[in-house]
This record gives sequence, structure tokens and C-alpha cells, in this order.
Amino acid sequence: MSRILAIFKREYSSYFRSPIGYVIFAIFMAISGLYYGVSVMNSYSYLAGELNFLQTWLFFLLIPIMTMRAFSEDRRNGTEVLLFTSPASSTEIVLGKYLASLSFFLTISGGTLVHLLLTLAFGGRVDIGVLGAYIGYVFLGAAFIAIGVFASALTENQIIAAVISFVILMALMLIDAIAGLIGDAASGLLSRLNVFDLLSDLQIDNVGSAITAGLQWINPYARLSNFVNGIFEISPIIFFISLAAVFLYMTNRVIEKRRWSQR
Amino acid sequence: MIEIRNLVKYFGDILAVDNISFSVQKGEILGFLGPNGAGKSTTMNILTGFLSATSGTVTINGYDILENPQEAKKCIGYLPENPPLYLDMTVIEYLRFVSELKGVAKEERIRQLAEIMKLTRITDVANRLIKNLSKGYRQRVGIAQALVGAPEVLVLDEPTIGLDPKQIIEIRNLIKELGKLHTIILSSHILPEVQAVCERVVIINKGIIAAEDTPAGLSRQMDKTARVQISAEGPARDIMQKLRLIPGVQNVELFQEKDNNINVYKVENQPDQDVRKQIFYEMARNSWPIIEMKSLDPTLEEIFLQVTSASQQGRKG
Repeated sequence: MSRILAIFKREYSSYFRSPIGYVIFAIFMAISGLYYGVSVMNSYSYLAGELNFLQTWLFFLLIPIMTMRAFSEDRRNGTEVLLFTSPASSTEIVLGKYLASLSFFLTISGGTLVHLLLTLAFGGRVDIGVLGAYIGYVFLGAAFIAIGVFASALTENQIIAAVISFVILMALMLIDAIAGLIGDAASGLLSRLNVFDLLSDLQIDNVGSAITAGLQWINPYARLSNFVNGIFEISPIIFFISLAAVFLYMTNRVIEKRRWSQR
Repeated sequence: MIEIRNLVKYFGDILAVDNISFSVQKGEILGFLGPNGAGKSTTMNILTGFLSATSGTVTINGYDILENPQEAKKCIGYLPENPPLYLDMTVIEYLRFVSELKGVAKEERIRQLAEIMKLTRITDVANRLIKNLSKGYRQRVGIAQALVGAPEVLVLDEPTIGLDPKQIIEIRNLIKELGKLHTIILSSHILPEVQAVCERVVIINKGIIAAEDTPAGLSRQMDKTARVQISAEGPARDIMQKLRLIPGVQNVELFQEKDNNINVYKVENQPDQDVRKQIFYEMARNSWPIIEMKSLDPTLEEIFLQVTSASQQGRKG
């Protein structure tokens, strides 16, 4: 536990030792501020909308940049030798780094509380939906950061790490659109192969829509819709925690594998 | 203290370490010597638990590095070839981090870090960023890092590489100092370094152990033909002729010609036969004054070349 804390402290403070933390914070505040400002100019302020905008259009850009250094930098600088020859286990190292990135994410997201306070101060609408939106926002971010940390364990090049997590997050964002296409393509392929009429058209359509539904099930954004309406469900939260856990587990595997590799 | 048994490591098809076994006693300074690419760093990475071995075992202080890594790693301070420094931290921040990582108790921490910084003489740069430090200072911070947590074993991989001669001497003295309290494995491809610091030497080449002895023992082992070097005044051809007639002398060569009729000769004699007295009487009879005479021990350089080329030939054959 104390070793997780040691790694956490170092990694978290490293965001503020270089300009990167401040730059990410500035970009975040500029874009969220722009959204808020434009809303206010249109005599409209709804924070759930702002959070939705940020998680849709900013996460897949900022989270790869936030997490790209987590493991790749240690590997390039040789500091990984210090970590892996210390009494800390690889699980502790992964958790320390993950929690540091998550805390940095929460820190910069705290900037939106300024908008919340302004809205409150001028009698704007703040309801239970905003709390729901915040909960969804945090859990989505937590899952995405795990994906970014995983990508950074794959390579010693930060840029490649950022690109890998960018592609994964982008795919998750577009999965709704892609899911329909893949389902249709599967049906189309089946009907061409169906020379002997073994399957009815209805069955073929069912296969296509099952594939679409299966892919849509992965779509993390679809799971957030009820939160904004003030309906709290446990299953989306379990989904996001599971997503984070799966990627952290894989991160741990990747690291262990490299040390055990005979290549 | 450290037991390495039948260690084998493959990288793909390349055999980096081939069935190495040796042990290090408590309080010993062991030199691990070999040319570049001999498998030194691989062995050190395995024995500190950074890499896994293909087969074989490493036991540190009774703890197996794979079965009980946490306990085993607590006993080791490791300075890899590239010191694992976070360049964006100050020296004291960095050492505090290492101290927390190694789980040094809070009350102990400040005292221990102050002691280590004093010993490695980095107290005056404690508040500077590591990226602004010179190579010599970085190396010392690297050694300081290995000392955090008072490990019983220190593993130092090429600790003087890239340093200037003055810094090399400083680091060597530091290692000697540390040897009083720690068991040390020191790798190097520089022979005088090992000669100056170590009590025992393991020579490794192409992944196998070529020789293992004390520096002096190695010299003796290799010393098949002893040699004497003399500087004397007189006609070179006559001197060489007379010297060759002395019983026991195998070969005489003119090593260096100097001014004033003074030349330097190297005399090879048969092992376990001291010819120095006869040389003195022979030269005195002919009134050729000896200016200087000394017996030549083979340097580790020669031993090293001999051992490594012998083991290469052994492998070919």
C-alpha cells in the first residue's frame, strides 16, 4: 500500500514538473470555458450538456496525451529497472500509475466546478441530472484512462502510445455507427453464401442484427443516457469498472510478459 | 549470501548466459569481468530480478529471486548500467521517492538519506534537478539510490563508465569504503578497476565463466614463464649473448633502446627458477652496470586476453 502511494505521488507530481500538465489543464479549461460561455450567451446553461460535450469531443484527445507517458517514459529512461527491482510488485506499480493519471484527470475536471458555482450564483438550473452526468463522466474517464495506461505499456515511444489509445477510444466512440455497418455487411455476406437456401431471409437478418446489437453493447456512451435523466443504475457503473479492470489486468500482463520473455 | 546456480538465458536463439554458477560470500567484493557483450549485464539483470532466467536459480540471502521476490529484492541495491534517474526531480526528491518505494520507515528515512548523501558526497547538490547534474554526480546519485534501504548486497554494473579519471578514482574509493559494510558484485570491462577494488574475480566470456580466482591467484595461475626486466649499460649484442648462456633462461629480447649505451631487456626464464642472482653476477663479471632490475607479474590485461582467447579456442574445438 505504501509503495502504491510512493509511485502515485511521484507520477502525480510529474504532471506538474513539466509543462504537459499545465498545457492539458489550459486546453481543458479553454474548451470547457468556450462551451460554457457560448451557452451563457445564448441564455442557456446546462452543465450536463457541457460534460457530455467534453466526454464526447475531448476525452479521446486529452486522455491519450495524459496517459502516454505512464510506462513508455520509464522504459525509455531506464527507470523501469528501479521500479521492477524494488520490492514493489507489478500490480502495485500499475495501480500507482493508474491512480496518478486518474487523479490528474479528476484535478483538471475540477475546473468545471467553477462553471457549476457560477451557474448556481446566477440562479441557473442545477438538478439531479447534473450529479448524474458527473458520475457518468468520472466513470467513463476512469475506464478510458485504463485504456490509455494499457497503450503506454505496449511501447517505449510516447507518440505511438498516444496513437494507440487514440485509435481505441475513437473506435469506442464510433462503435454505434460502425456496428450497423458491420451487421449489414454480415447479413449481406450470409445471403450471398446462402446458395442452397439453408437459412431463411429472416434468419439472415437476425444474425446481422445480433452482431450489431453485440457491438452496440460495448458502446460506453450509450450507457450514460440514464444518468443525465437522474436515473442511477448500478449496471453501467459495473460495466465501467470492469472495463478499467480488464485493461489494467492486461497492462499488468504486458509488463510481466516482457520480463519473462525469452526474446 | 548470493548463490547463482546453472543460470541459462536465451534471447530468442541467442544464448546470452550459458550455465553459469558462482557464489558470493558475505562481505566479499566480487569483480565480474568480461568484454562487452559477454553477458555481464544480463546476469546482473537476472540476479536483481529485473529479467527472468530461462533456467537456473538465484538465491539472495536464502530467498529465491523468483519464489520470494519481495524479500530477495529488499536485500539488493542495484545500480544498472544506465543509472535509473528521474531527470525531472531534484536529488533529494528522488532519493525520498526511492526510500518510500523501498519501504524505509519514516523515522529512519531522514537520517538514512542524510548519511547516504554524505557518504556519496552529493549533499551540496541535494536541491538541484538531476537533469542539470554532470555525469559524475549522476553516477553518485545512482550509487546513493542503490544504498537506500541499507541493502546487504550491492550490485553495481559498470559504475565508472563514462567518468573522467579523477571521478573514477573517487568512485573506486567509495566502493572500497562500501565494501566494509556490504557484499558487492561489481561488473567491469576495465581490468585495473577490478584489480584495485575486488577480492575475487569471475571472468565471463560469451556467456560462460572463463576463470575464477583472486587477482593475485589469477596472476600466479597464468604465470607459466616468469619474466625479469633489466636496464643495463653495455654493448647490447654481448649482453644478450651472455644472458642467454645463464642456466634457466629461455629467451632474451631487447625491449627498448635508450641513450648513453643503456638498453632495457626482457628475460624470460623457466617457471620456479629465479635467475636474478645469476644475472647480477654475470653482469658484474663483465663490468656492465645494472641500472634497474625488476620481475614482471603478468597484468590482468594479459591474463584476460589469455583466458578469453583460450576459452574461445576451447569452444571452437
